[in-house]
Amino acid sequence: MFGKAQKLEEKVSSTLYDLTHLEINTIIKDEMIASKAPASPRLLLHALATKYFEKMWSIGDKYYKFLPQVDTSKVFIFQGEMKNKGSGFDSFTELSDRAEVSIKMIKENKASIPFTEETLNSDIMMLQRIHNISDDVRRILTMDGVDPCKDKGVFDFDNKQMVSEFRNMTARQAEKYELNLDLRQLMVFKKANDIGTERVVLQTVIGMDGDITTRISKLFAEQPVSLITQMHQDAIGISVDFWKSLITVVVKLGESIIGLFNPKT
Amino acid sequence: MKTPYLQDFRAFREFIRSGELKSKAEGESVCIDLQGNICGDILVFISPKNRIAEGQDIMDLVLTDTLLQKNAKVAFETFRMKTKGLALLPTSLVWLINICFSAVFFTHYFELIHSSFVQNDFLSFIWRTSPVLILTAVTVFFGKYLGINLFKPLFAVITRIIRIVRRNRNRKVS
Repeated sequence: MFGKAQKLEEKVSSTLYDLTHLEINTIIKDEMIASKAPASPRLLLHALATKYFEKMWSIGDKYYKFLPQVDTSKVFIFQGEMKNKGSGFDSFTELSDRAEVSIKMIKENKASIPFTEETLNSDIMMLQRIHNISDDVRRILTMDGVDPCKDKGVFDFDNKQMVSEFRNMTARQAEKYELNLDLRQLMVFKKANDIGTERVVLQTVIGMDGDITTRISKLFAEQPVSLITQMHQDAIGISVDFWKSLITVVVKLGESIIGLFNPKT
Repeated sequence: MKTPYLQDFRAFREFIRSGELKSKAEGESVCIDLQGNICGDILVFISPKNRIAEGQDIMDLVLTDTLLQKNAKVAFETFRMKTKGLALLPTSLVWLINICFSAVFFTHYFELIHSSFVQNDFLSFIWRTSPVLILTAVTVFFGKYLGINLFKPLFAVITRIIRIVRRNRNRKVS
């Protein structure tokens, strides 16, 4: 009973947060967009896990020479080869833990790393993103009724081979292993996959309470491009206008309800 | 009287199908992708059209792309229109709720309306209420497009009356 109330409270608070906050991100992708994001939430998660895994690998490759190695494996993601290369709960737990440990290792060995402060901070931020989003994914996966394969005996999504098997299934076969997400949860996955490990150069968060926060990446702040800034401004304008129209609708609805109980005579 | 409803409907359909709104601009070497969701969050992606050569930076491509600014403007305008169209969903919901309220009121006051029909002749009832009905219909259909101008003739008549009254009351002394 309390679990249901807590779930409802969580849903209401997250929906309220979404409705009272706007987020506008301008992202630079260094590579061309090759393919569309998969429609299946499972495959969307797998695409996200793969991006994180590849990024962890490349960061590890960059730093391993300057960090004390805890094992002799030739896979450079700070702590040897990943155990779970799929996209289930354990895979995201591993990604999150490794990102956390990696941040710690970079911070502790700063003195022996010959990279600029800027590069270090940028990589730490990326690892922090991997850690945070992986935790968000894990939290959603543990929610009641979301993952029908919590028991690995049903289908092990932490195993890469099994994910490939799932990819080749027909829609009817795949249906029983698919995640049951509500719109908000799906949006969290989609946004995480869209942003992936790309560079966010400008980010503006607008709160209904009047707080507006804009974050600008250091690299962009040093060499700003007016066209990109202008595009970000335009996106903010569109977002705020859309929000206004939503609020107007809510006000109208409120007026209708009040009018029902207090009819003008 | 141009109606943007078709465009609104298209944006609505796009949202239902993909869960988000998208718009794209292509320059000579850079692509801009816009993505928006129902909460109003927007992602602006700037990516190269082709694989970038070693040592080249995408910022340089953005700066040298002559087509990008023009096409981005169009993409942003299209995206703005799509988001406006998306408001059709909540507006429709409010409309539906209003209809429900009207239905509740109608059932509540049904006896009163019914007695008016029964006690009077039906045609004379329609004839007596027709000015109000026509005015309501005109307001609903044209109000959105004409707005406050709808009341212009009424305002003109009122101003005329006020002028006449003022002229009669304040007669010239000389």
